[in-house]
Amino acid sequence: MNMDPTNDLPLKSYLLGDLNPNEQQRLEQRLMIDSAAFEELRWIEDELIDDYLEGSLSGSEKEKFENFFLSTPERRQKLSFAESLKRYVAVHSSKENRWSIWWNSSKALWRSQNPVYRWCLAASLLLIIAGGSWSIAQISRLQKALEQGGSRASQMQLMEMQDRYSQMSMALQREQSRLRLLEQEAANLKQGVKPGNSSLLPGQLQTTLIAVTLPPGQLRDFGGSQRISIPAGTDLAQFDLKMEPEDYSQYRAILQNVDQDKIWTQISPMTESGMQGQFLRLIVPAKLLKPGDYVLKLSGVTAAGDFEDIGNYYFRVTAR
Amino acid sequence: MNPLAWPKKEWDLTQEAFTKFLVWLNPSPDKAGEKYEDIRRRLIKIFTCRGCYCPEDLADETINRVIRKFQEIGENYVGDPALYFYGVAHNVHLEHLRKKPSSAPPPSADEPSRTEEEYKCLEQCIESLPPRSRELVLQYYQEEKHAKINLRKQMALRLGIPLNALRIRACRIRMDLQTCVFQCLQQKAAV
Repeated sequence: MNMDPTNDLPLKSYLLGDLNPNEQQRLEQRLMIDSAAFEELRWIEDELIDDYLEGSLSGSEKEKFENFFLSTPERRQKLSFAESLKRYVAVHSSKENRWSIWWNSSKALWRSQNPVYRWCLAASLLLIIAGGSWSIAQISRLQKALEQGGSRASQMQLMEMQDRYSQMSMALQREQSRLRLLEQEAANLKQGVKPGNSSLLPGQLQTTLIAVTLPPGQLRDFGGSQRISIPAGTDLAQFDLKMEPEDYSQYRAILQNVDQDKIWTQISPMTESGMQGQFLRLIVPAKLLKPGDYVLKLSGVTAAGDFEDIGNYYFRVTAR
Repeated sequence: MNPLAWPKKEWDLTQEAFTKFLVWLNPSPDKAGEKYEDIRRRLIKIFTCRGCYCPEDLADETINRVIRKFQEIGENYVGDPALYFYGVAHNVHLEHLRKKPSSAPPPSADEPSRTEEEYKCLEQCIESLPPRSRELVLQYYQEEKHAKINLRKQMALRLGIPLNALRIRACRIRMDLQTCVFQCLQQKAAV
């Protein structure tokens, strides 16, 4: 309930020149003797100017404001001052002030006698603290995951580079072999040896690569694992790792010796399908494969960058 | 000289008559002075609200006429002297309407530069305010529309005063600031 009678006065209408002569005189007489009414008039006048600057006045109010209210120099000065004040406040109001208002309001609520306010404030604070802690924990977890993701990504990049390097090395070795073959053939031709009598038989280049198909093994049973004899002069060993159909976008193969030393790693983008089903083809430099037991550990790379074990492929390289 | 200034009439005001006039306003000399200023301020506001270009001149003319009339009516008048002033002011305004020019003087041409000067003056004046008043002004006039209403309620709650008291406080600071800015502009104009 409004106990202030000055709120019923038609002060806004008076300021906009909307009152009839009798209403105007009655109001002006009151303004002469009632201090509260006079204070109210000044306040309404300021509010009217601010509302005009905010664009809150209705169409007719705006028209009366511009045509009647602003007809005196004093009012125009007030408008100009209000514009400056609005600009100043806009420039100097900061988030700090807003925080200060919130904090002070909370303090006032706490001090108030109403226990409902106190409980509301306490509950709000509790919620803010709990929510804040949860948010911090979540952010921290996400940051950690992001960092891990970043290191995994780096690791994958490194592996991809290694893979590319080994593929380039293999290509280089193939080209060197082909060059050696051509040099040998040229030398034979100079010496009058017929191509058919060459010590390097046609197709010898293919013999530099040995192809092996490996099934996944359940146990490290080196005795029973596949035995491979790599002929001298073999440059490359091609392993086709048989596997069940999988839907990973990439695969990682790690070659380890019996001491679990990591000898070689390759990231392959896709599997291939053949007569014997799905397989992943790997090409390993043959010189890495000294006689001994080996395992090729195959993993699938998930979308999140995690490695999931698919299977182990055991084999033994025997003496040449 | 203001071309709209009220023409001064030949009239002798004795010290004795003026003293009696002040006593009529209030037996206490200090309070009589305050009452005089208060009545003048209200008259200026009313003349302004009636759209007069020179409300100060009209208020002064009203006061002069009341002092002169007071010598005739003496102490026989019953009621608040302010209402007697108002009656005289009403007549002064009617006379003014018969005399006033058809259009208001045009606004001064140097408005943009004045705006900048005014802003600089406002900065100075706000900086000279006590910290609490400065903070109050910055917060009170911060928002617009509904947000403004909520903000002011929060402020009143924080200060532990009714909303009406808060707006009176803000209104007075604003009025002081406006006076300060006006004086600052006058000083700059004089240099």
